[in-house]
Amino acid sequence: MTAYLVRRLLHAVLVLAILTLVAFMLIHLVPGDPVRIMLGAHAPPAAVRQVRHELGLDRSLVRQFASFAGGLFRGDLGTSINLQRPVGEVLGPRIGPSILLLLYGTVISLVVAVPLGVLSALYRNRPVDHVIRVLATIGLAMPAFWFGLLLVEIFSLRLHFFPVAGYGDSLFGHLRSLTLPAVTVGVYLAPLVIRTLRSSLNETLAADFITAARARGFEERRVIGKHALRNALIATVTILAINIGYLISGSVVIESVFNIPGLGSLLVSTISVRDFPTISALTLVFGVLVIVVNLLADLSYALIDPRIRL
Amino acid sequence: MENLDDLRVSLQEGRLARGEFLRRALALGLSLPAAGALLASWGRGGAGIAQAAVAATPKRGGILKFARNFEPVTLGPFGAADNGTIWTIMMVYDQLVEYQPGSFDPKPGLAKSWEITNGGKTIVFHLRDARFSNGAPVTAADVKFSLDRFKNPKVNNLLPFLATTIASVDAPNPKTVVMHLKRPDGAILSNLTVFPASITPKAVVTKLGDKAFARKPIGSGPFVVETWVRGQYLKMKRNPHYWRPGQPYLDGVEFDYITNDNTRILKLQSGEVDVAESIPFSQVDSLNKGATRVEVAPLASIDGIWLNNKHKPFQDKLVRQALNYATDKESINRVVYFGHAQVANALYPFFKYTDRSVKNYPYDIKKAKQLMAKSSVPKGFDVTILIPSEDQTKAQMMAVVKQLWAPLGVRVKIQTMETGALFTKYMNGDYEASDPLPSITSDVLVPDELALAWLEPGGVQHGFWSYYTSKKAWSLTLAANSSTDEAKRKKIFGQIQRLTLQDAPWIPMFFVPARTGLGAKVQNFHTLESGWWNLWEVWKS
Repeated sequence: MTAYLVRRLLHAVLVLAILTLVAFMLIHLVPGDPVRIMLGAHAPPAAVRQVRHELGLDRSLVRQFASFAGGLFRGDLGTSINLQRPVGEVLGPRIGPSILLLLYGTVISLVVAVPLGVLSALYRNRPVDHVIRVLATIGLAMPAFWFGLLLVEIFSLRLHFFPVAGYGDSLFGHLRSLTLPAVTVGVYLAPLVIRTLRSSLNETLAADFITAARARGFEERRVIGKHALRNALIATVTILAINIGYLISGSVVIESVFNIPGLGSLLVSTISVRDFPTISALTLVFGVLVIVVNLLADLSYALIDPRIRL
Repeated sequence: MENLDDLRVSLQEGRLARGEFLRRALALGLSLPAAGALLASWGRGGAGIAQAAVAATPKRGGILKFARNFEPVTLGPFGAADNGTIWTIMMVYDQLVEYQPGSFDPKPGLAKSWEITNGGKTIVFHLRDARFSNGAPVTAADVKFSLDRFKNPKVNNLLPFLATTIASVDAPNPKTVVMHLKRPDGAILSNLTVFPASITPKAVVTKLGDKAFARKPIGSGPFVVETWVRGQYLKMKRNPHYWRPGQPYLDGVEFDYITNDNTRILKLQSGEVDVAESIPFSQVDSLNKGATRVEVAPLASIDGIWLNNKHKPFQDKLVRQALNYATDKESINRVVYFGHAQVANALYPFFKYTDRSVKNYPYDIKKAKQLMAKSSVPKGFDVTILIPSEDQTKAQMMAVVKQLWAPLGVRVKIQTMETGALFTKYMNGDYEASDPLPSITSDVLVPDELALAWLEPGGVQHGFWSYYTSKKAWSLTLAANSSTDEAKRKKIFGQIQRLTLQDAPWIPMFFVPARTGLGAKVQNFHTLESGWWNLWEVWKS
C-alpha cells in the first residue's frame, strides 16, 4: 500500500511538472498583449513599454519560465498582471466555493443515482427501468447552462426558494446559493452513475457468487447491498472520478451562469485579459485537483473491495 | 435634427423610455419642469405619469444594488483606463468641473465658478466649500497637487495627451486656483472632467503613496468605498461631507460583479438587484414590459468597420466609398441592435459640434456599383474582416455585411480572434478590415481628443490604425482645438466632419447606446454620455 502510494505520488509530481511547462508555453504561444488590454487603446507606447518592463514581460520566455518555476518551489505563484496582487491571494478564496460546489453536486448525484441505478438493475427491462433510463438520457443530453436557467426560472423567479445567483455570506447562505448549481452538476453526473451502476450490477447479479449467496438463503437486501453493490461500485467510482476531474475545469459554465466566485469563473476573466501568471497557476491548481480526485478514487477501491491489496 | 414632435411620436409608440425622453427633451433646451409636464401629457401609461409626478420629491435612504459587468482594476485615479475602473472612481472623486446628465458642457464641480482671461491662456477657478470624505477641506493646494500630477506624463501615463496644453497651476490662496496654458485650448475644461484630473487630498496621497492610497481611496465625491471583495462585490456608503446639500439620497451603493448577461437580467427580474448594466439588445424590449424598464442612453462611442488604408484595395477612395454605400446601416440596426442604435453621421462622435445636416452614406447599391466599376478593382476582391471571438453582436453584424457586399463582387471572410490577440495584430497594421473593439469611446464630450489622436500625420494612433491621413483635416483640427470661440469651433468641426466622412477612411455605422435595466423602485437614474451615472441624485421609492 505504501509503495503504491509513493509510486502514485511520484507520477503525480511528474505530471504536474509537465503540466506547468505546457500551461506556461500554451498561453505564451497564443498572441495577445496583457499590458495593451489593461491600458486601453489610447495609452501612449511609452506607458505600455514602462508597464511591460515593470511586469518583466520584456524578458525572454526562458527567463520568464525560470522565474515562474523558481517561484513555485518557494510557494510563490507570481503576481497577477490584471489585479496587481499576488496570485496566491487571488486564487486562495476561489478554491473553497469550487470544491463546495463539486462536493454538493456529487452528493446530490449519488443520493439520486444510487437508488435509481439499483432499481433499474433489479427491474431490468420492466417499466420502472425504462422510465429511469429515459430520464437518465434526458439528463445527460441537457446542456448545463440551459438546465441551470430553467431551474432559476422556476425556483428563484417564481417560487423564490433560492437566490438567482451568488454565493451568500454564511455557510447556510453558501448552501442555499449553491443548491441550484449543485443540482445542475448533479443532473450531469447522475445519469452516468445510473448507467454504469445498472450495467455493472446486472453483470454482478448474473455471477455465480450471487447465485451461491441466494442459495444459502441470505435475505435479498443483504445479497444486493453487501454482495452485489459492493462489487458493482468499482466501475462506478472510476467513472465518477473521471467525470469529477472533468467537471473541475468544466465548472466554468455553471460558475459563470450562477455567478459563483470560484476557480472556473476566475479562469474566464483571466484568459480574456491574458493574465499569464494567474492562468498558469490556475492550470496547476486544476491539475492538482484532478490528480487528487483520481488518487482518492484509487484508494477507495481498496476500501470497497478488500481483495484489492494494492 | 431631432425635434419635439419626433420625440412625442417616439414616446407614444413606446420606442423611447421615459428617462430617455426627458434627457433628449432637456438636450433640446426644454427646462426640466416643462419636459416633465410634456411627459405627463404625452406619456402612455399611468405609471409614466405617476413617476413624472413623484420625481420632484426624492426619498432619502436605501442601498442601491447594481449588477455590473466590469470590475475595477484599481481605485486610484492613475493606473488603469477601463470602464470598470473609471465608472466606479467617478463616484468617489470630484473634479474641478464635471458632466451632468443631458449636457455636453462641463458644469461646476469643486470649482463653483471660473474666469477665462489673457486671451484664453489663463483660467482662474474659484473653489467651493467642500470636504474630503475624511473631513479635511478641499484646498487650492490639493487641487494644485492633483493637477500637477495630471500634467505629469510619468504619473498620468495613460491620458497625458489631455493635459499637454497646461503650462502651470498656481494656488495663490486656499480658495483660488490659477491655471496657465501654453496656448488657448477650446477643450481644456472638458479635459479637466476626466478621471486622472480627480482632486485627491495631498497630505494623504503623499503619506500613503499611490498603491496604498488606491486601496483606501479618499475623495470628495458622493460615495466612499467601504469594502471590495474581488470578483464579488464593492460596497460604497454615502460620503457624509458631500458638498451637494442633501445628496446623495442613497445610504449606499453595492456593485455586484456578474459577467453573465442572463444572470444579471435574472437578478434584476427577481428584485435581487435594482440596476443591471449592459442589457443585450435582444432583451431590451422584453425587459421594458412589467416591473422593469431599460434606459437606452447615448454614449460617446462609435461602432463600424475600420479599413486598412495601406492595404490593397483600400488605398482607393472609390472602393471605400462604394463599401460605405453598400453597407445598409438601417437594416443592420434593425437586425442586430433591434433598432436601438443610432446611425452615425460622422467618423466619430462630434457631440454638440455635430452638424446634423450631414448624413451618413445612404444605402445605395446602384451608386456603390458605379463607384466600384470606376475603381481599381472593378471585378471585386477578397477581404478578411477581423472581429473579437467573444462578441456575438459583431458576428451577426458581419454576417449581414457579407451579404450586403456580395453584389459588388466583394467576397468577405469573417475571422474571429481572441480580443488581446486581435488588438495586438490590429495595432501592428496587420489586418485588412476589422471591427476591433467592443466599442471605441471618447473620454471627453468634445471631438478634440479623438481628432488630435487620430488625425495627426505620423502620430501614434495612425487614424486609429486605419493609416488615414489628411493634412487639411489636421490643420482644421489644430485650428478648432486652439480656439475658445464656440461658434468658430462648431463651424470648423462641421468642416472636419464633412471632409473626413467624404474621404471615407472607414465605415462608421453606429453610436451604440448604453442599455441599463432598472427595477421599479429606482428613480431619477440617468446614464451620462460619458458612461457613468448620476448616482448622487438617484433615489429609491
